[in-house]
This record gives sequence, structure tokens and C-alpha cells, in this order.
Amino acid sequence: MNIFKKEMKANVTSLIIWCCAQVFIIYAGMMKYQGFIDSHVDMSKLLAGFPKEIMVIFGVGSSLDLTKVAGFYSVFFLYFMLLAAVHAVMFGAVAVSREERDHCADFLYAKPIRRFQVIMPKLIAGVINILIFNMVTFGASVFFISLHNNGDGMFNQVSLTMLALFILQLFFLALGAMFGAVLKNTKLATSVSGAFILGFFLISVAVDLYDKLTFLKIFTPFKYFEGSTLMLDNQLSFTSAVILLIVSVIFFALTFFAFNRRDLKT
Amino acid sequence: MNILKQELRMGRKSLIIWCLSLAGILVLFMLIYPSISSQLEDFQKVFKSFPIEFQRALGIADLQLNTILSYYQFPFTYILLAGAVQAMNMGVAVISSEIREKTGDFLFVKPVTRNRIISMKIMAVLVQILITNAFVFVAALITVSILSAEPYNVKLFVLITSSLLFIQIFFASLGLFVSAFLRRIRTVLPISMGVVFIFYIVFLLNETLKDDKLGLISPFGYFDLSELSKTMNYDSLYLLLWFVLVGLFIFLTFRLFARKDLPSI
Repeated sequence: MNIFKKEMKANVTSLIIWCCAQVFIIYAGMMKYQGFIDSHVDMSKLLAGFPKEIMVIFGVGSSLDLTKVAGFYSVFFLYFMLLAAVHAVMFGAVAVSREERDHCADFLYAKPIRRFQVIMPKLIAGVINILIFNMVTFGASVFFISLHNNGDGMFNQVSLTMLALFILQLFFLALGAMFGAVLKNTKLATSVSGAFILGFFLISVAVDLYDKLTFLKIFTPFKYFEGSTLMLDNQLSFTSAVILLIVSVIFFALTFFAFNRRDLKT
Repeated sequence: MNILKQELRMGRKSLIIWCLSLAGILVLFMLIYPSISSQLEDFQKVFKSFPIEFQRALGIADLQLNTILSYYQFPFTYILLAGAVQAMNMGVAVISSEIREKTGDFLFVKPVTRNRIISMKIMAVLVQILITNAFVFVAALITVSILSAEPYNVKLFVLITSSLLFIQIFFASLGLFVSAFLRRIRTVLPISMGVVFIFYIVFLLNETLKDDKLGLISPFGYFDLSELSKTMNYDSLYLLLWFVLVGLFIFLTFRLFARKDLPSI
């Protein structure tokens, strides 16, 4: 319990900054939505005239209508994924390896508790942190959407989107924690985690760009959920969710395993 | 001079990795170009018939897809993103590492002024940025020249590629300022990656919205590549803003660091 509290306290400032940035992005995006719809273009009629392949290639589902608040908001999902991924992966990487970096590992690990009793509260603190980040995103989204949608916050669709976001956050937390446990020090763990995020993002860009690269889709979590299917069709891809959760569990297990046999620097 | 040399020696390994990966990403993306160039021309015709709001929403307004440079600016946006992370990393790490690794007691008691130490360290960051840029520039030049069947606009190529230098200097000075401002930095990458990604998302958001005020927030917007290919020059207002901000960050770094209370062992 003490470790959990300590971990929460160590991250409170950064969590507040992250949440503020997220709220600002939602605010800035939705504020300008008003100006965007004022242009009065009937997009759905227009899109009906184009061949479906072109729309698919460009990542615009035939149903995506940017003048509707749901369609506009679904574009945000990419931004949420990027920010949430950076937040979660860095949390995981730092939380596991922090004591060695600060040279206080001999203090913590000499306590009469087993190693997994140290890692467990740290990871629970990580889950709570990403959950708070998720909830703040959720609250800000519903609030700002309702401002522009005659009071209707689209609670159901947004909660589904947030569920998908949470699964992704969990995945990235597990990824970061695994690197933190396996790699030598914090610096290396954060660097590798950062490289993975940039790599995942670039793969997702390349997949959009060139249709022969579609097979790469399974390698990047950023392509597991699509904002438009979540917000418009109200569907969460079951297979994607299961794959991500299973991989997360594997990563968490590896974290425990690697950490138990880790040679702690003192 | 010793400080400069030592910094360069310590940063050598990560500099090599960064140079190779930046150039690698760029070359890989450019290699897609021959296979989709005919497709791009078809897109071009379709896109031109879209209403302007929709073109903006997709980020394809003013897009000329039928030359190699119009494609080149697309992967280069991601080089700017990655390069910004690298530069900010260096900026934040270069001073704060002395305090973090408890080597401050060794360095700051040497008979050199703090300002001199800072200027040497800034020089080291600048040299590393220049090396990165030179490397990326040459890699890009070779790739574009090989892939392009017909002659391309060299001035535009230089303008696009040099925007990396401006973006990197901006983020490096921002990083220096952050490291002088915060009392103690334990881990560098979460800070630099967080800041860069937030700026990048503000820029992406503004691609859709085209709001002038929002455009001032994100340095990525100062060197908007699609604007570049239209005007064939950097926007003078943004360039001025860039100069002012970089100058301010560097000034504040010296100022704050000169009075900073440095923790010792």
C-alpha cells in the first residue's frame, strides 16, 4: 500500500500536466468545429458520387461525415491514441526501473517484501493513472461535444471510444513495463519505448499510403481500432480487443518474470 | 574546448543511431513513390473536384501530387516529428545530465564560468544538429535524384529539407530552457516526447481547422511544407517569431542557469 501511495504521489504532477494538455486539445478542436460546420457543405451527398475504393484508400469510410459532430470527433481518436501511448509507455518504463536510476534500490528491495509485491503496486498505480487520464478525456469529450450538439454528449459512442483507448493504454503500459524490466536502465528503456511508438506510428502512416502494405496492419496497435467505426457504427472490434489484451497480459507476465531474476544495481 | 569535445564524444553513439534511422525512414518512404506515382495522378484529378472545406479536412488542399517533391514533403513531415524529438532530447539532456548523474560537482568547480560551460554545451548540441541535417540532406538528395525521372525544383527541395534545421534548433533551445527552468529532471524522454507530440497534434489539428491563432502555438506550423511549395519561401512573420523565441529561450537558459542552485552529492 505504501509503495502504491508513493508511486501515485511521484506521478501526480505529470498526470495533471498530461490531463491539461488533453483537455486543451479537445477544447481547441471542438471550439473550431462550429466554424467548420458553418461552411454548409452537404458532404454525404457529395461523397456518394465517388468510387468507394478511393474513399477506402484514403481512410475515409463512406459514412464519415465531417459536418456531423460524431464524424468530426472520430478524427480525434488518432490524437488521443498518440498522446495516451506516450503517456502510458513512459509510465511503465520509468515506474519499473526508477529505483535503480535514483540509487535507492537497496533501500526498497531490502524491505521484507517479495519482488512481485513491489512491482504489483507499481503496476496498479500505473493502471489507475491511465484510467484517470482516460476519464479526464472522457469527461472533457462529453462536455465539449454536448456544447456543440444541442446538449447531447453522445455518451454511448464516446464511452465505447474510451474503452478502446483504455485497451490501447493498457497495452502500452505493459510494453513500457516490460522494457523497464528487461533492459538495463531507465534511459535505455525509455529510448526503446519511444522508438517503438514512433515506429508504430510510421507503420500506420505507411499502411494508409500504400495498399500493398496492408499486411503490416497487424504490427501496429494504432491500426487496431478505427475512430470512425467506434463513433459512427458504435462497434468495437472484438478480435482487436482480444489480441491486445492477450498481448498485454503476456507483457505483464514477462515483466514479473524478468524482474524476479533481475540483477539489481546498487 | 574540452567540454565540447567530451560532449560530442558522449553523444556520438546516439547521434549515429538517430542519423541512420532518420535517413532510413525517409528513404523507405521515398521507395514507395515509384509504385504509387501513377495512382497519385488519378487521385489528383478526383481531389480537385472536392469542395475546399473537404480538401482542407483531409489535408489535401493545395496539394500537387504529380511531382516527386509534392510526395517528398509528406514523409518529410514525419522526419520533422522524429527530428524534433531528437533535438529536444539533446537540449533537455545536455545540462541536466550533469545534475542527474551527480557529475556537477566535478564539472562546475573547474575554473571556467558557468556561462562558458553552457555555451560549450549549446555548441555541442548545435554541432550534432548540423551533422544530423547534413546527413539527412545528402541521403534525401541522393534518393530524390535517383527516383525522379525528370528534373525537379532544387530550390523547393532545399527549402523543404532545411526546415528540419529550423525545427531542430527550435526544439533544442526549448529543451535547454526547460532543463534550466525545472529544478531536477530525472528522465529526459517522457518530457521531450510529450512536448513534441503535443505540439505535433496541435499542428495536425490546425491542418484541419486553419486557425491563425492556433497556428502560432505550434512550431511545426511555422514551416508548413504545403505552404512552402506554394509560396516558395518561408513565411517572414513565422521566421521572425522563430528568431525571437529561440533567442528568448537561449537568453533565459543563460540567465536562469547562472543563478541556479545546483544540488551536490
